[in-house]
Amino acid sequence: MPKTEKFAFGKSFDRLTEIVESLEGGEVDLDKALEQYEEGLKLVQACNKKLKEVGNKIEVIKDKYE
Amino acid sequence: MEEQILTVTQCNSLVKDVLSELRIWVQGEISGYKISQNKWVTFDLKDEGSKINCFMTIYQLDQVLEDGMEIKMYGTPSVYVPYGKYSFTVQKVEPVGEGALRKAFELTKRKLQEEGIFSPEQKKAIPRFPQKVGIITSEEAAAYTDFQRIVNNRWSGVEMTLRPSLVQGVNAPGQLVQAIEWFNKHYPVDVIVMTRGGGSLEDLQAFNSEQVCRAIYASNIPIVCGVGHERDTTLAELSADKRASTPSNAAEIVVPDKQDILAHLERSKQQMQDILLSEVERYQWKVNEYGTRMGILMQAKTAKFTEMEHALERAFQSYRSQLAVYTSRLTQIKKSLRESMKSKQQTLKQDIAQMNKLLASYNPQNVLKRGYAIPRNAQGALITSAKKLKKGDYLQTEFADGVVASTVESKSKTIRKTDTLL
Repeated sequence: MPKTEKFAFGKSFDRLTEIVESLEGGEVDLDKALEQYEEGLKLVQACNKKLKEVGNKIEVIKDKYE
Repeated sequence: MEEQILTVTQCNSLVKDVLSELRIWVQGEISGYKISQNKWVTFDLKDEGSKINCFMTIYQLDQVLEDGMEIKMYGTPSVYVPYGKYSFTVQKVEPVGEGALRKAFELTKRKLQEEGIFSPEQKKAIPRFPQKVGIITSEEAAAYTDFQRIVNNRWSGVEMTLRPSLVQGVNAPGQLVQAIEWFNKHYPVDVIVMTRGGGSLEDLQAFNSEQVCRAIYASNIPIVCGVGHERDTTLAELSADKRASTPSNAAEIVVPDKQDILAHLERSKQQMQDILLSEVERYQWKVNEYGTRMGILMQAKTAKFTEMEHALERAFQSYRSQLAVYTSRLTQIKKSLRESMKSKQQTLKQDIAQMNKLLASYNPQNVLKRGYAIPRNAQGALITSAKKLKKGDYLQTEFADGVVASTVESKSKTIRKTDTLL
């Protein structure tokens, strides 16, 4: 798995949480709020897409124990 | 063939060599337990009939021991050549029997607790969305299958790496420690799950081992430890950053539930929409309110102007009506003045006429016309009395239409007829 994708979900999710909290705070002016909303929607979409991936990878490390 | 004769040293060395081939388990009760220089552990292991002098380094000791504790030890008998003294070099120690195990458990627990190995402040946070998960367990264990199944049910895109390890038996602690260290050194995952199924206190020995607890504590990678349903929490679980009640629970801790996250995403979306909408509404309301407020303000201003206009109008009206009053009064005065002048004039006119008449009536000429005459003397002076005349006086009588000269003939008090006179 490429390194760039590694934390994509967590990062996107955190950013989304941040945006929702910021919007909830109500201290953002309308223009900025619209911008954040747009970004939030994109993040939701990206996260949803990521969640549609199926399956987990499993690898067993067979190491020699003395 | 000559019999070989050994020196004492050779003899002791030989015995030592022979004994050093032995690897044996010995079971007995501890007495005279002692740690010196925080390095060397010595005790006697005894039974009813005999005792062995035992020695080990503290680093090999994975249990807290105590006098009277029943243990089995693994190691090699040895001879200290200079004294020819026999002792047992211990490599592993395991408490034997429920009582000893419990005792060992309590002692180790207390020790680690005092060192702060279990302290909550030392716990590392478990990442919410791990991408790489390290698993330490026995490959054949049901715990492993359970864990995998739950992870697959809940989440996707996780890269799981199993580092198989014994989870019970005398070699289990070493393998568990190795596995923890291997992930830390060679395969940095986001989180390590260490798990096994439940079992007796003896089965769980490895998870109560001091070295495993220390390795967990030393790990830079957060560790979730889950052991199957048992009444006692193992020391490994207490040392871990997060304790799972079962291997399945470990999976629940390590990965979030996809459904929850999907719902959360949906909620976030809705929330953002709601917030934005309410924000737009708030602005709308504000704009409307400002509009209304401005309207009211304008109305108030207009009302003021209207009021002023009315006041002006009223003032103007009142001036006008006052003016009208004055005007009419003036007109009246003028009229009455004119009238009074007129009547005065009339009166004057009448008076003048009267006076004229009167004057005219006073004109002697007019009197003369009525038959009167004016007697005058010769000098023309007016004679106002008969007494001033005597017979023979010259008398001129002025009539309206001329003068008659005469001489006085006689005088009397009354008029006498001419014939008489004559």
